[in-house]
Amino acid sequence: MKNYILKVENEDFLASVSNLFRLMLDKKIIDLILVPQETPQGKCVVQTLVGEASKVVTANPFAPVLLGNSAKLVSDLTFRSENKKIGVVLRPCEVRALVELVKLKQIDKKPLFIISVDCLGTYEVDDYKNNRQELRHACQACEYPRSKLYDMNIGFIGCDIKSEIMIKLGEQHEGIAKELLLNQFDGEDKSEGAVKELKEKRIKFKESLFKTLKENIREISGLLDILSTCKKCFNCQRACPICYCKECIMCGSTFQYQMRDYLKSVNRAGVIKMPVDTLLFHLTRLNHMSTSCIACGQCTSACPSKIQIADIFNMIGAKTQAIFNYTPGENFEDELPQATFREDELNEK
Amino acid sequence: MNNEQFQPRILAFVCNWCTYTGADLAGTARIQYPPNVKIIRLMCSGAIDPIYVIKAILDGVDGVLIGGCHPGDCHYQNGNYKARRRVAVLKAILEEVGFDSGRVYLKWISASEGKLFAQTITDIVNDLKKKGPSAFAETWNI
Repeated sequence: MKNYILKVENEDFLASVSNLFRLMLDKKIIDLILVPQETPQGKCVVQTLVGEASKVVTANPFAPVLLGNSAKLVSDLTFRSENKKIGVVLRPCEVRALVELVKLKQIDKKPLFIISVDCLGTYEVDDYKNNRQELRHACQACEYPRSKLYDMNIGFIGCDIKSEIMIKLGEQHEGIAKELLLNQFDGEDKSEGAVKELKEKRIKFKESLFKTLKENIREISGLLDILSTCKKCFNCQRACPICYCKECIMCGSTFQYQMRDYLKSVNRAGVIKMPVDTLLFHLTRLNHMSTSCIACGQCTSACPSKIQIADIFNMIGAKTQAIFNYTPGENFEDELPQATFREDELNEK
Repeated sequence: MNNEQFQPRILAFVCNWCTYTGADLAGTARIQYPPNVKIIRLMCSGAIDPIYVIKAILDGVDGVLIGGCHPGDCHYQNGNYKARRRVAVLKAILEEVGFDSGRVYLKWISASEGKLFAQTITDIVNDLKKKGPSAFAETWNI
């Protein structure tokens, strides 16, 4: 893995990055690129799929906003892929979701050229639009400002972005540096230090977040209190990149009740909360996907009741992953914990 | 409620090839065990989705037994190993949200172990009598 320098011209690093993407398309390193661009009105940044170099104009993968975890889009793009090389510009959390989706056989990684970008965190969409600068909880607790897996990483942490951006290329791609007019950088890479520092700050936040939350949900009544405003809209499940089922078991007819089912419950307890099964829904989702939860926080962003559900999934996910010593999104090799087993483990007394 | 009078309700998810046959043996051999258990037969312990275990717990059962073949003896090669991982995840989650994961029992009982099945149920009933009723039996806002 080598470091390269992308010279920024006219102190406009966004233009330089757009330029880099255009070059990649021009030189046929990739045929298509999935890249966040500013909308013409300039109020928001959305993912775009571009096939013509001249149409990469306002690329801005650094804007602190995320409409959804783009790994889901990549899943669609690689479904029966058409022999095209697709460059996908992703944030670290999206790359980690991509890794999990590859393991879940929802993404074919063969046609992909993963371009990861450093990320300092994102704001909720309406906060971004209204210029409120408040990082999402998930981002404040995120220990991955820089992706570990990439074909190319665009790094600005620890750089003077007015003059240069640090580009890292995966080993098998070092040949393209020349085509992209990148100069090799042999000096000391100071950015890793800055990344590490940021990471430590984030871990500290995460620990304090978990500590309070753990205190709050130590009794089941604590969790019931947090979930009391859940209206079971399934937005969190739909926004989740890991929840890939076309139809969630909770949405199907299995848990569609009739009068007599309700009557049975009412007769037993005298009173039931409606809609039913909110706690069941969240606990089931935890069972089904928490070992792969990459803590992107999209569930919280999708929640109309503004429940900080991602904090709960993040914390409990860390626990379930720890059982199998598994870190989701870390690499393509580790097997999904719930898809494999060891003969000698977890022995019951 | 007095713990002596308290009769725990247990739901057992058992696999067709071992634990269910073991329970059958307990019956045909006329081995006495407490009648607190309702048995649901599945083809394999690996076929148990945690959702049904959680559903039972939230509906107020006092304990859940998951029974399968001994490790290495699964009729489908490795279903019970996968069940073991799933149960480990389930227990960790229940523990985190403040539910006593000790109310979920994972036991390996083979087809010839009718006695062990009866003993297991007896032990679980005694254990649950000590623990008392599940918190969810009295909670309505779930």
